[in-house]
Amino acid sequence: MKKRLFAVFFICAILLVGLVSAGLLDSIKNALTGKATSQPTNVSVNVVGTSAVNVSVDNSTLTGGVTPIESSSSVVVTYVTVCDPDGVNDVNDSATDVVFNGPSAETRNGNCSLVGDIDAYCANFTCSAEMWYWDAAGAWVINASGSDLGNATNIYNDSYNFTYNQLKALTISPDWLNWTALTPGGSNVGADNDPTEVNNTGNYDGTIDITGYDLYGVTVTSENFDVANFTADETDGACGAGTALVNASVQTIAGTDSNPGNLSLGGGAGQEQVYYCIPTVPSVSSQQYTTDISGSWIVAY
Amino acid sequence: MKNKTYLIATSVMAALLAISIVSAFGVSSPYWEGNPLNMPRGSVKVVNLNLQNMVGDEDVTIEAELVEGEDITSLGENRFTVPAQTSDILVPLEISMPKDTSPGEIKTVKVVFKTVSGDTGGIAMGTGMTILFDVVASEEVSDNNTVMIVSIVIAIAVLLIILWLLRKKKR
Repeated sequence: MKKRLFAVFFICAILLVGLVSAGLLDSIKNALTGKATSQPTNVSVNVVGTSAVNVSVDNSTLTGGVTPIESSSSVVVTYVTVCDPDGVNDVNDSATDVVFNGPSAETRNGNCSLVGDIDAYCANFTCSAEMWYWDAAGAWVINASGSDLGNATNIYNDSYNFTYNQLKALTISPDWLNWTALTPGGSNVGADNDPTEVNNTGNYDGTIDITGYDLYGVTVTSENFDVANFTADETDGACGAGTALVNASVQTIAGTDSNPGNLSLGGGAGQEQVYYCIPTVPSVSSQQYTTDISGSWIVAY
Repeated sequence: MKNKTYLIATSVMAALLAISIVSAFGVSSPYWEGNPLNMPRGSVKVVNLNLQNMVGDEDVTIEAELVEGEDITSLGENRFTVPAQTSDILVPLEISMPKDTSPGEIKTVKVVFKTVSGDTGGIAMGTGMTILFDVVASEEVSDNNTVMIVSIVIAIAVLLIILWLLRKKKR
């Protein structure tokens, strides 16, 4: 009898445990009392710090300056460290940013991406910006910024800079000049195929120089056509108003401007024209004169 | 028509039209007018200029000439071939600031680059670049180091003497 009673009690106990674990007793209880059903819920608490971050820049990779690339762009890379006294997890990884500020108020916006955590407080970011051939030579300020999740204040650091080097580069077209036929005593005769289009493919900001050389006869090579008979000018106006060329001497052409800029925009950016003229055709023998003996005239920055 | 002077015959002109109409190269420098190089007296520095030929499709031969600052600068080579689509040909300038230069004294370095072109039969045009920058003499770094080393040695000697005197007094 005792054994049977124990067996019944045992089976009842097992059934009761099943009901309790399924929450059926609670449901019955709540249905009777009108109380809402409760169940376990995962709870997470996101604790953020209140301290602002500290931003520093490693510009050691830019020592010696950044060399612009002719008619192209170059990517300038720097490293930014963002530290938070509240811990590296409080650093806002998507808030780090750099802007390069040029010597003439130009700006180049960069992008930053997380390299990794340095320690429990600091994270390292790589930041880069694309710089172009026409960007001004000189000291560029690296304006780095970062923020955190708790304080959320953007902290800026503009105490680091780098040098963007000077690039003197140009193209000319055409690369030859022609006066088909000249009559001695003639006046104000412009070249047949000017102007020379001078495209600035670097960042030099200044004037254009021309070094001319005397022309020598093809038939009678001892005879020459003095280069001092030629003038060069930025406009196709009055022939005599241009700058007279001097044999084997660098002459700055008055009024010219290298005009650095984005050539692909058109509209004259990065361009200058040079016109050539002979104010008075000298009395020389009839033959062809060239630069074959003396050497090319040089258009230079 | 006898007294007509033909600079270039029409037939030559046609031939010239067929040749390249673009002449180009570039030179980059870390120093330029308004951005001088500061060098301690008695020091030597190599400044690398950078030749580029990124626009043309043909190699360019460039001639370099040191026209100013020969007393402090040496230019190893004076003829460079820059392959098309390259921007990494270096021109090293070795600059030595003499020891007897006064601090603040300015020397100027000027290097002229120009393309080398062959006979074309007309008035040929080439391109050139002038790299010009000042080199400013500053105080010798070694002088400061010497002063610092001497000061440290004297300080250590004084300390040793004091310690020796104290020991002697105790005895």
